[in-house]
Amino acid sequence: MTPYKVFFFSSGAVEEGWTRADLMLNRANVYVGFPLGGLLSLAIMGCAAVVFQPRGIEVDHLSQVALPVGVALGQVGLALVLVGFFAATFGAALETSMCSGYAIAQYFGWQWGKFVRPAQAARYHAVVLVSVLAAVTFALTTVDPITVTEYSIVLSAAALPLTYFPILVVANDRSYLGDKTNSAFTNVLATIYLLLIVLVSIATIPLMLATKAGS
Amino acid sequence: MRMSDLVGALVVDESGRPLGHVHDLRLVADGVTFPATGNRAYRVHGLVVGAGAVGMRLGYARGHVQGPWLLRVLLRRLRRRRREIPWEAVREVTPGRIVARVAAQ
Amino acid sequence: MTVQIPERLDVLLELLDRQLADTEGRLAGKVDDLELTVPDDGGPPVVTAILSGPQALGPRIGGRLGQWMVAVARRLHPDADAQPARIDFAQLARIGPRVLLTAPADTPNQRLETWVRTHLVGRIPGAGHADV
Repeated sequence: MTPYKVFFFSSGAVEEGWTRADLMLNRANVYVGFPLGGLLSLAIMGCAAVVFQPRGIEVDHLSQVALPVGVALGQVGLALVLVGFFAATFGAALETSMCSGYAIAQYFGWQWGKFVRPAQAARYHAVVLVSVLAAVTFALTTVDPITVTEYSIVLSAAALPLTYFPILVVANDRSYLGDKTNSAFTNVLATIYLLLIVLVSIATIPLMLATKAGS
Repeated sequence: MRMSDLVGALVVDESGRPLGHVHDLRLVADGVTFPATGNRAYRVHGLVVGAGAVGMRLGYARGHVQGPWLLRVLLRRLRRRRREIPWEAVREVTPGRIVARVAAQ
Repeated sequence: MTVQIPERLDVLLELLDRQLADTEGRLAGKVDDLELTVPDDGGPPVVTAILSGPQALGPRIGGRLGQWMVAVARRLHPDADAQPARIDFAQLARIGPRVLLTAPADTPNQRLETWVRTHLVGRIPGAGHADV
């Protein structure tokens, strides 16, 4: 529930015109998809550790992540992983720049969305464009991408309660959700999780500074 | 006059004792009827004054939001310190400050 | 006639900062402030209009940031006076998660939109096609 995910997902839901009928599908998406994503992340970490650690190699570039796959599956695997890289990075770039557009347009009440012509949502599209250009400019300053990733993850963790808490409140608001508000069980889990992420949020920046981001 | 001129203003009684800040306006739809929509106009019924703004802002005081339990308990406590001052009690409105006649407590 | 607006309403909770939309689903800004008119007979103030846009939001936010918002809005609108976009309350049809207006809005606050469209987005090929 990091801020960018929240804005992107919920805006996408409006654009796609989700209804109650889609609720079941999206629950399945969360129950299956998110654990699967976590599993894949662990797999990447595991493979990298198995291949790189015995050889004492430090990973500091995305291209090195392809090596374990190449070792295991040869050229075909390598080709697939490159397609995967492209999809992941291109997708992420679009998601985050669109999220900037959504967040700002929705704050000010501007027209947004893909269901109108870009010319009719000019401010929204302009924010998306400017975000992409700003990001590209930033990358071109040859800043170390690993450092950027680490800082952005830490800052996301610190900001997490700011989106989680409002969603938890809205999830209990009958004037928005009618009869689909949280069950007591969900609320118990959600409250425990809220306390947990508040603790993480408070601890994360001092921890990063103290450990110098693991360097 | 704008709503934002009233919200946030400090309310004092006629002897100058502060009663709290205006956190919200309570409106009632009992004015003239608009022909195009059939809706009645809103008139200011009272000023919601005092502590507990956060809980009210989120919807806990009015019963829209019922859970989770922990938040509801914490935020409902704050509700007890708020009060509504009816508009008829307002004597004077100046920028940032409103004087109202309230019964002694 | 079905009830379209609640009989009792707490402004900050149920009306303010809601998205405005017209009958065609076009987004028309937010409820940033309300115009209150005190009647001559001394009764309570009546809500006569919704105020929307940076010139309404700026004073509400206050401080340096609010003043800057108002200044930017005025630069785009040099010849008009300093009044925020005003939507008469007679045009308000329904209050819900969105506030619905009766007519397709003479959408207020389109100066920034028009400027961006003319100078930036409108010049990009494909700006005239929706992705529906």
